[in-house]
Amino acid sequence: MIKVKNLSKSFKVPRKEAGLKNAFKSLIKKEYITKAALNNVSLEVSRGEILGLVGSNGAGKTTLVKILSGIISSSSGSVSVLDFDPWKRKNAYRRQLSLIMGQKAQLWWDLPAADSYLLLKEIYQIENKRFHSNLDKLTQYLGVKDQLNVPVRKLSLGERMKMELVAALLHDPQVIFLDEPTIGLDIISQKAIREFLKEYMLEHNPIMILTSHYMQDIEELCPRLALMRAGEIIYDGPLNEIKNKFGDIRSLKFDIDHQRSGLEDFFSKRDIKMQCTQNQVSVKIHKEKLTDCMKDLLNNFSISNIQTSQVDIDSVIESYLSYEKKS
Amino acid sequence: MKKNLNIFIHAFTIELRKVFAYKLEFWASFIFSVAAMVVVSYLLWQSIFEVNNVTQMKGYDLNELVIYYFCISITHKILVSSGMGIISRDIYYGDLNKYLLYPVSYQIFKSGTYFTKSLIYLCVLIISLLGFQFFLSADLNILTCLQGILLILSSTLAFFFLTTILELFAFWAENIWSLGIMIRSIMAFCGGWMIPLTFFPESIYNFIHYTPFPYLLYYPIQTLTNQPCEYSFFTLVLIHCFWILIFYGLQALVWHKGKYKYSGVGI
Ligand SMILES: Nc1ncnc2c1ncn2[C@@H]1O[C@H](COP(=O)(O)OP(=O)(O)OP(=O)(O)O)[C@@H](O)[C@H]1O
Ligand SMILES: [Mg+2]
Repeated sequence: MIKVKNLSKSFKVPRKEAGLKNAFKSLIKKEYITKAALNNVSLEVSRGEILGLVGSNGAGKTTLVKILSGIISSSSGSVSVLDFDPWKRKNAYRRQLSLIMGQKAQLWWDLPAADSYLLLKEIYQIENKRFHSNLDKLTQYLGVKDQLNVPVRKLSLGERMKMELVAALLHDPQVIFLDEPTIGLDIISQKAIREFLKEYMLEHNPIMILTSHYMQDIEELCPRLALMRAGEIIYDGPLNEIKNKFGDIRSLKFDIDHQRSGLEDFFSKRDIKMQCTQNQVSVKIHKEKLTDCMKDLLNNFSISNIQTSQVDIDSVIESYLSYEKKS
Repeated sequence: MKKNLNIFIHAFTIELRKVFAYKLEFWASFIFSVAAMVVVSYLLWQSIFEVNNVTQMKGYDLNELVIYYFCISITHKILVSSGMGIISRDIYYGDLNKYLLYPVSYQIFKSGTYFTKSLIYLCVLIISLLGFQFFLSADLNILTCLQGILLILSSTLAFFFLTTILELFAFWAENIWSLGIMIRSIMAFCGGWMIPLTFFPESIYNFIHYTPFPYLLYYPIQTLTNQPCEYSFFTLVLIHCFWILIFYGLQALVWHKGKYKYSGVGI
């Protein structure tokens, strides 16, 4: 079980201004600015749960994961994972931990993956039998058996990512942090990895935190969602709830040839934000106002190709992040 | 213990494969640096001997001086291995992240990497000693040779910890290159890499014996090449143990302070 209470983290970064003169100045006296990356975060995740961690760039997701895995210290607050303090880096904790970083290779660059796995076997003291059965199962499932003996630097991004996943799961970890595991992958690989994670979840029942910018990952894997903005968690609850909160909103799209300016007036009068691409217009409208609005539109403008739909999760989160900012 | 040894061996073989993968670069840089040192010192000392019209100075003849420079420049390579970078690069580029996740000590990994090149150079040194014995009719002795090799090994361990201390300053400083160069120059001077210590004036000679470098570089070479040596083998072993403990303690302290500064860059 992960318990995080009032966790804050700030980074001290040297202030650097461009230019030679400032470079000399900083030689004599360095100025620092403190940058708050996490601000009073509290969170609990229990066994068998996957928490989806979502937020814009720089929101603090990776920082949270780094603290939970013991890579960096926290500034204040308390953290415990499986009753361990991650920062103490006890071997008993690290044997159960896995961090998958989409951004950064963990496998040894010059070695074939198979050799890295042998090293990991030694590091985690995996018994022979368990090692071979795990390796077989994982490589079979992800379809990378044939590339095991190719140096990692010669693999494609997707192949490498799958190798990384195998490496991260060989020791049957109980706590798994996935930081953008599907970044840069094609749709088929993304899907394979998602399916694979589901399977793993069913079989091992670990604690998992997944951060991703692809909403499909979150929708398929995480029943629970935490939204982060500027170092704070602004929503933590079921994914469905947040969808329902915006479930009354419909998205309306149509084509228009001219009369653009009139259209802007039309929507701003009704306090609706309009988005245009070439001659397609899209707006989000409360479902009760939808019929009236469409009637007026058809009476006053020549529009075609009208579509309405429920808003997708991307725009739900987008509007949630901006909605909370205003209030 | 067994686990740590296995990890050490793994790290060692990984580095070994890297050396083989980039072998041309490895040998070229090695041979060039040793050859340059030996040729330059040979020419220099030859002319010094000629001008003074002597065949021996402070107990060295030209032959012995060449052997001295050869041994000391290889031993210098053994001690500093691949030089600065193996740890600081991990800190600067965030490769440290993955090692912090493993239930194994980071230092074990890095010592494996460090010792790889050292041991390759050591093999070269041993083979050359055999060559000297047969072709330059050097006056070597099997016992002192073995003692010298043992001393070089423990010096390497001391140097690994010393390098670790310097490299860990990467937690605070944005560049530690100059720090490395500085220590390297002090070591070259005090360890007898430029000229054998007996050529120094008395005051400097006394002063540098307060630094660890004569014991870690100069005296092991004296023992190895069967030259007169002020300290017995066992005294040197004790002095080595002393410095190894000091450096080990210091690097643990610096690591302990520095880990709070680490911000896990790169992800
Ligand atoms: N090593 C560091 N040193 C200084 N500041 C940092 C460091 N790492 C992160 N930050 C700052 O902390 C904040 C949070 O960064 P973090 O990496 O946690 O964001 P994130 O939510 O993972 O973003 P992304 O979606 O882009 O990965 C950012 O403002 C970032 O600039
Ligand atoms: Mg991130």
